[in-house]
Amino acid sequence: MAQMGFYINVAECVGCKTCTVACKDKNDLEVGRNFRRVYDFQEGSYPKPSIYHVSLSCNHCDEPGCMQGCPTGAMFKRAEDGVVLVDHNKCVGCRYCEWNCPYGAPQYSEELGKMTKCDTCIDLREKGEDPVCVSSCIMRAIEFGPIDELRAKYGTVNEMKGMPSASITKPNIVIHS
Amino acid sequence: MHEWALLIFTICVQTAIGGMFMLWLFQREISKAGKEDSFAILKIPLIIIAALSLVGLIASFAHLGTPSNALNTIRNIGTSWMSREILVTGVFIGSACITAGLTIVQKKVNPLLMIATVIIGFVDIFCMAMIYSNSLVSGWNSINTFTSFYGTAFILGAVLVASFTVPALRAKNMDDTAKKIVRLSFYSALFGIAIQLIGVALFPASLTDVNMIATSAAHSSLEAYQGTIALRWGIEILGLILLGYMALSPVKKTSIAMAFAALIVIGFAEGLSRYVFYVLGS
Amino acid sequence: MLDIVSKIKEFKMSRRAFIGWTSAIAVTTAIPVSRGLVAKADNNIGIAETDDEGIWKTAACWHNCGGRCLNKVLIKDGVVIRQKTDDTHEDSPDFPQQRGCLRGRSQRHQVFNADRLKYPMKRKNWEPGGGKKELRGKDQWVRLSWDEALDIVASETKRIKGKYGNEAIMVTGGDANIRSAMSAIGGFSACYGSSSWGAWRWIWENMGIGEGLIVNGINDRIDLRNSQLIVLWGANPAWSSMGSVTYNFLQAKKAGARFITIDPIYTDSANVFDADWVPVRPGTDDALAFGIMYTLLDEDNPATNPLVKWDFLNKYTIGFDEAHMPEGADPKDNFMDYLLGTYDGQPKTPEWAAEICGVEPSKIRELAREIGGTERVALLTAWAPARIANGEGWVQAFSTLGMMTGQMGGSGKMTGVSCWEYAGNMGPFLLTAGGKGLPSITNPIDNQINENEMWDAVLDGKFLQRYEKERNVNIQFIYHNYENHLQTRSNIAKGIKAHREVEFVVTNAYALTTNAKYSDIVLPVATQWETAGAVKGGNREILINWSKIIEPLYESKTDQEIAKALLKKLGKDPKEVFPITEEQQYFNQLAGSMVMKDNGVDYEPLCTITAHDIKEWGVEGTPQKGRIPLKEFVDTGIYQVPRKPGDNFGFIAYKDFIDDPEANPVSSESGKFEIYCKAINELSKTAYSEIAPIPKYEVKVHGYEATFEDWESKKKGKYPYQMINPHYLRRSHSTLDNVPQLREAWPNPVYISRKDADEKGIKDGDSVLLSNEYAKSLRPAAVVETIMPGVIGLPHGAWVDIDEKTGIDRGGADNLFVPHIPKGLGSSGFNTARVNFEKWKGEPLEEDVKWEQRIIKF
Ligand SMILES: Nc1nc2c(c(=O)[nH]1)N[C@H]1C(S)=C(S)[C@@H](COP(=O)(O)OP(=O)(O)OC[C@H]3O[C@@H](n4cnc5c(=O)[nH]c(N)nc54)[C@H](O)[C@@H]3O)O[C@H]1N2
Ligand SMILES: Nc1nc2c(c(=O)[nH]1)N[C@H]1C(S)=C(S)[C@@H](COP(=O)(O)OP(=O)(O)OC[C@H]3O[C@@H](n4cnc5c(=O)[nH]c(N)nc54)[C@H](O)[C@@H]3O)O[C@H]1N2
Ligand code: SF4
Ligand code: SF4
Ligand code: SF4
Ligand code: SF4
Ligand code: SF4
Ligand SMILES: [Mo]
Repeated sequence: MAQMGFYINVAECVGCKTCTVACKDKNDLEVGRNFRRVYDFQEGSYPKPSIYHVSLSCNHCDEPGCMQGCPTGAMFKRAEDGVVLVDHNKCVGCRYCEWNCPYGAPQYSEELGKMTKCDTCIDLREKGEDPVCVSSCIMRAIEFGPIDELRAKYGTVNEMKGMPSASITKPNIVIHS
Repeated sequence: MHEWALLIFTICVQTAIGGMFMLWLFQREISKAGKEDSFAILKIPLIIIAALSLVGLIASFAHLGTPSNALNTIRNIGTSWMSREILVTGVFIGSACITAGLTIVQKKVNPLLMIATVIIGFVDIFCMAMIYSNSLVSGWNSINTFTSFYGTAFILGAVLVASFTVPALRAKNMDDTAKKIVRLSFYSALFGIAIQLIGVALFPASLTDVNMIATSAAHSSLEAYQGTIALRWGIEILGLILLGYMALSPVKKTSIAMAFAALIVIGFAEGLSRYVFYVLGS
Repeated sequence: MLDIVSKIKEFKMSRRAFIGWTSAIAVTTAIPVSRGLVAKADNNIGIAETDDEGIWKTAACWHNCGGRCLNKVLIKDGVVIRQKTDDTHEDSPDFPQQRGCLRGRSQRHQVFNADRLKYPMKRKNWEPGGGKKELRGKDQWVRLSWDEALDIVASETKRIKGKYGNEAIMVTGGDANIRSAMSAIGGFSACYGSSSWGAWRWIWENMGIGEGLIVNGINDRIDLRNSQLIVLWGANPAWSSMGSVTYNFLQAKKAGARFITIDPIYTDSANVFDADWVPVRPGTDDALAFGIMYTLLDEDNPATNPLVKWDFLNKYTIGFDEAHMPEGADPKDNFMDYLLGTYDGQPKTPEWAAEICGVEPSKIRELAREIGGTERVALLTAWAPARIANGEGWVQAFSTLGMMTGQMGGSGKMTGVSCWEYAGNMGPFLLTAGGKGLPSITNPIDNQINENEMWDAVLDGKFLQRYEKERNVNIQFIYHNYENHLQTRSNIAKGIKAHREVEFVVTNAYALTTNAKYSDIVLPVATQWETAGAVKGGNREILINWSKIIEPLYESKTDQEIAKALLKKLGKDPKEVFPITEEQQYFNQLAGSMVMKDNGVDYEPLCTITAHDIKEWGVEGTPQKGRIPLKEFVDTGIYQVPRKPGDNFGFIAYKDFIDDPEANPVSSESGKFEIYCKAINELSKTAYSEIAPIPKYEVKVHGYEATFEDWESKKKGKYPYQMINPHYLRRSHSTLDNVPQLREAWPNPVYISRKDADEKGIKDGDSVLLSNEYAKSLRPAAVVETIMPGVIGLPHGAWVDIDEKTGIDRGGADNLFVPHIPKGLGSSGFNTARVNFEKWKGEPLEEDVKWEQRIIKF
């Protein structure tokens, strides 16, 4: 299977955080742990301000910093679809991946003593469903699929103001702003 | 700031490394006093150094969410500086303990083992610094991380050794030697401070744009900590003056109380400095 | 050093919070809670266990939240392990899924919240007659058995009834259960208010227009795509109409519509629609509308620049000019002469308006040219700009602007309310729910206390029976039934005072809400996940059918069970009031549900019901033929009528009237749109203050002018800022405000403009003390460029949390600052309040997600 990725339509996102909370529900995440996060930005000044919200989970990067730094090899990139996952049999809970991911994707679980993160809702995808963040977005601003297809459809922009440079980890994300 | 475990770990291990280095330097001076005396004088500091490295080890475990998986941490030597550091730290702690253990068993100091341990230790500090400087945290990916870590070793290691050798030296009426070790520590500490200052001077130049979406740039995370930073330097200088006074004053006898005072003051200053360092990552 | 000390403190604090949290878990484990949230699955009729993956059921999301969406829960081994939203059909803009919002997605955390009330309880120092009444809100709680609790409520009811009469009982909240029970035992004093609608509440019928809920004032969502210009005048669907409304509007944008928003806040709606933002001062929209209308008149030239639609005015309205005044009215009272200032000497020029509303005269003229010069305009307002004191003139002015520009009754043309569940999409319901089949019990007592007077009525013993005269009343017993009056009505401080004055206060609640907190007796109520099930409408295209998910948790009972138990204790047969079971009521709703046929006119039953169904349900009923099997409706949980452009379900508001005004008169006395409306003026004479028959500018009590000590010299007063209360995504009013997940997602700051914050040396995140003559409250500042300087945005509905030592609230409760002053016909002035603010010098406020929950441990 091809490398998978997300498309985020920043221009049509209203920053409601339904995606964050729907993901929380799917993954039973307590306060403080968010596999998908919405970052709010403001530009310009009164009376001509503008706002935008960037909804990010894990970008299942081509050069994942999280993985390179991980001492145990617990953080790994699945061969078949390039999804970056944490092997809980290996993870030691050192939290080093947090400092090596530009997107704040690794989310430490105190309860497990291990790292957790977006797994692209693998279980649902196996059943042919969309990831929960995709099917929950009230503005239909998130899509998930083979990154090549998303790029063919929406272009190749993978960073925007306020976001870290895509050159760091080569994220599999397409952004429309 | 929630990295208390890492703070304790880095300070302890770096101090142990610096201490071992200072001991190695000093043992040449002391060996003139004869095997027995040098064993008696170096025994306590060696044990302290080994103990410190073990405290560091325990602290590093406390940092882990799943300590039972600790052995896995050396599986990724290929790309992970953390893996490398853990391996080298392990070796250092091992050799520090062996050095101390052998010394006690054989009742004699082993300079070769010491210098080997020191070299491993210096490599270890490099690995430690690489962990942070390779991360995306603004302020860590800077030369300052290296100078800060090595600086701690040269400063705290030296003062530690001085304060724990002075009592034995005084007991043996080796006031001149005591003076020497204090002087040596003072110069080492000065050297440590000097390289830390270089790191501080170069720090702003290394600050890049924000690399991580959720954190702020180093200068803004540090905004609220200017008071702490100033305090740290104040205390550090106080400690140095104390040490300098002991090293350079014409008074023959070295005050044990003063030596420990210097250790406590400088130890506190280094702790504050490391605290601020970890603020960047939180 | 200070910073490090505070860090250490913080560390300790979070440790404490952690311990609090673990004990919260320990409390929840009283009912078995594993990693998921445990619930006992009920064997719901119509749903068979399909596989061992658990079953999905449609669960209630029943709040007054401005939306209505499909929410489902996955029940496995008796545990609610997950939720989801609409996946019953493919999603498309014409036929969108009814996707729920973050609040709906957090519902299981509300139902299974650690702070659920488990047992009936009483205030420790309560005694018959009140006992240390001043301790209400700060006393300890003592656990009771249901029997004890109901005995207390019954005996106090009897005592108070006997001593002061039934008038002494005040029941708040609209839910029928307790109201019916209290009606059956002799009645109670009721209260009423304008709540959502503001000034639209009581004047629309007289003017002949729709108010946006009962009567449609705008076209349907598919026709919205025909508008060239959409003006959102004080409307932010992205926050206050969650679900698909903003997505629907987006389709209009994609179809080519331009957007303008007139709002003190640059909203997320404005942003996503790329709207031209016109910042306006709260409560001054009428002035702006007059400035626009003056310009229309001023620049109108029927030949070269036809801005005013004279034909429309002449044919469909009365009162615009001298020539079209109703009989008996003074011709000088016509609206055009008011605009021109013919008799009052004050032309309502853009310059005149600008001083009040803060919009530049040039911008006002530009708005007039845009609205008057565009063929198809949607002039849409939510209720917010009318939720002000003295707001009737605004409703009249806004409507008149639509009439002047002829933006009514045509495709792409509309002028009216776009709000709540019906935002951007009005028209007859394509689906309707059946009735429950309960008898309606009339309240023998006709006292109707205006919500702006309710606490004064308690404290002073008198109120105005509107349209009649002042009455005396001696309220000694407040029964809070549903709703959260002490929290959501004006002047909380006065409300608390009133609560500490009466002899008895009871609340039915599932968490320690504001009402419950200040009560003597709290009865734990089951949530809608724990009741029989119901059919509920939302936008016109859907009907939702939710099932029972679990049995009532702990010792909670449904509102109806409580009402029945109480009736029994009071010696009444509950069967008289509730002759049928809750299951039967649910079934009746299903059986009576109707759906519009494809011809767009007739209705047919939605559900086919067989004799077998009736037997299986164990209810009474007759088999019927409908569109889908009953089981299918219950299983799917929703029926949605598919829509597409050109179908028979489109709607153009007022079209009948526009096509043939004689045959299809509107609801006003004259049958035409009444720009001059005598009836309103008449009503107001026996209400709170006089309202002119035509739109006229009126200074609002606690409005912009009231922020000055001296208007002429423009010297600011003690409370120089205006405050508004945008409805906020973390909650539905006060409901769901206690859910930690939602607190995390939406931290509830006070919005302050960069300019105002700079002047006070306040930085983003600083704690701020808000104050006016009624109260003080703390909130962290969100310093933004997106709010008009001079305006403070305090989100609506945060749970009041007063520190009894200092009297300062730390929750940010909006109604602490809203005055209790009825005006006009008595609407609440929520969006006209004034405050001051300053940097808080005490301990900085901790994020409220970290606060201890209101968990009562027995
Ligand atoms: N300052 C200011 N005030 C306002 C507004 C504003 O904009 N600004 N808006 C106004 C508007 S538009 C409205 S509609 C009102 C809303 O005012 P309310 O209707 O009072 O608001 P809610 O907070 O939704 O109150 C519902 C209460 O019922 C409880 N509840 C929920 N389900 C059940 C149940 O099954 N049984 C029982 N017994 N209780 C239940 C909830 O816990 C909650 O306490 O607020 C108005 N107040
Ligand atoms: N998230 C959420 N949504 C809700 C609710 C909720 O509690 N939470 N409650 C629901 C209910 S019951 C109702 S009635 C509706 C109410 O919905 P609305 O009437 O739309 O109320 P708001 O969202 O408070 O305000 C809408 C916009 O009006 C602006 N506004 C406020 N005052 C003025 C003014 O004087 N002039 C102008 N021009 N603009 C003004 C605000 O800045 C805001 O952008 O919301 C419903 N939706
Ligand atoms: S649910 Fe959609 S609109 Fe809402 S914040 Fe997430 S991406 Fe944006
Ligand atoms: S987004 Fe972060 S966690 Fe995800 S693959 Fe990239 S670097 Fe790793
Ligand atoms: S927390 Fe786990 S996944 Fe992350 S770096 Fe450490 S071992 Fe790897
Ligand atoms: S794909 Fe699944 S796990 Fe990942 S962010 Fe979306 S909902 Fe969360
Ligand atoms: S909009 Fe209302 S009904 Fe829809 S999910 Fe949100 S809270 Fe529930
Ligand atoms: Mo409302």
